[in-house]
Amino acid sequence: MRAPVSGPAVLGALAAGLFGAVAVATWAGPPSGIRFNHAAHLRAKIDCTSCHLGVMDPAEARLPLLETCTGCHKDAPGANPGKQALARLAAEGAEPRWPVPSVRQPDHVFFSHPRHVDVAKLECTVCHGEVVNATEPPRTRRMSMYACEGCHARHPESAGATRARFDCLECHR
Amino acid sequence: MSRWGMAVDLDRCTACGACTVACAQENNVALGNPDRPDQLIRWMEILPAERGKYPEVSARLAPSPCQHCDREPPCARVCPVYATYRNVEGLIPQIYEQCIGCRYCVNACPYTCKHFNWSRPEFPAPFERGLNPDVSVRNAGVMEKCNFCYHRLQVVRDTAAQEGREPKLGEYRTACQESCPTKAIRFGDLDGELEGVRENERAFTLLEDLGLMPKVIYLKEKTS
Repeated sequence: MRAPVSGPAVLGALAAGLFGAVAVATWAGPPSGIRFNHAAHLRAKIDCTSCHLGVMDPAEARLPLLETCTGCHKDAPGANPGKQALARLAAEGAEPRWPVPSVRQPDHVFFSHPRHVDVAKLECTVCHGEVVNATEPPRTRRMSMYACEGCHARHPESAGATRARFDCLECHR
Repeated sequence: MSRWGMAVDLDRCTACGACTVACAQENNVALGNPDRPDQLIRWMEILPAERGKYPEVSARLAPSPCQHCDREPPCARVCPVYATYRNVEGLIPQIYEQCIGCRYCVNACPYTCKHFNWSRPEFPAPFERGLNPDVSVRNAGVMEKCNFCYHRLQVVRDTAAQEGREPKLGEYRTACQESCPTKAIRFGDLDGELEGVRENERAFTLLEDLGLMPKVIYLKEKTS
């Protein structure tokens, strides 16, 4: 015999579904309240590695720390909600919580940023092209193997091609 | 192009097993279930062999990683999905994501150097904190084997490129070589660090008559 479904449970499920739909529609931005605008920062001619410091070092964090932001944003925040959130974080001494990396590699892929940026001298936009015009924090996307193969197999004239190897063992080990 | 190989001096080797342990630690090889020794995985094994006839018998204990056959590796010949192949430097990689676990290569390999994961590897309490982040943890149902610590070669190459130089001779070292207390294991380019080792009068390879040209070369004992 089936257990009777209680009224409150149905209501709860409905409410959860409704809340989920609303939450998706009005996504309030990243947890720290900073809607980072890549396009505005790039228009100000700020180099990617000015904020993404750890990109040359495999062990360091690649998303900026509070001191990286406050190094430039020293003035009063004004009306900008992002800058207000940053000032709030600075007052609390809390690190900003960034949402997610823009490109996520599968677990079985060994990718090295220093190898591509420092050794092969690739531009960041080769893989992260979408951030150039992004006014919102980028959403995570999965990178397909075809995107990697594009350089490793079919573009011998690319800058890093002298060292790029077309061998499974380079990334899968 | 380098041709990576290994030379094991059996006169120096005491069969202490340090290479076996160092290899397992470096490459995230699980401890294994003591109740199922037949399913135990060790990339570097100590192969026992009997030499001489009674009463003049002695034991030969030879550390045996994957032999990285130079000529038509049998595992690569039978692999239906190209999960194992011979790369341009003569290494025989095993690509775990590509492997379908058919185990043809286990049967093909005359050196018994390939291992199948019969169950999901388990790393009990303190061991899971010692996993090497440069090497994947293989799942159940795939083959695994020694790949001459290839991740170390990548680190060497990256460091050299960042410093604007070529990798130095002897810079690429495997975990077994580093751990060997008597320096019985030497590793390097067969045309570089190990040049001429094949011509050594003591040199031999396992199952030479198969003609697979293994790149693990043994130097036999002088007192034989």
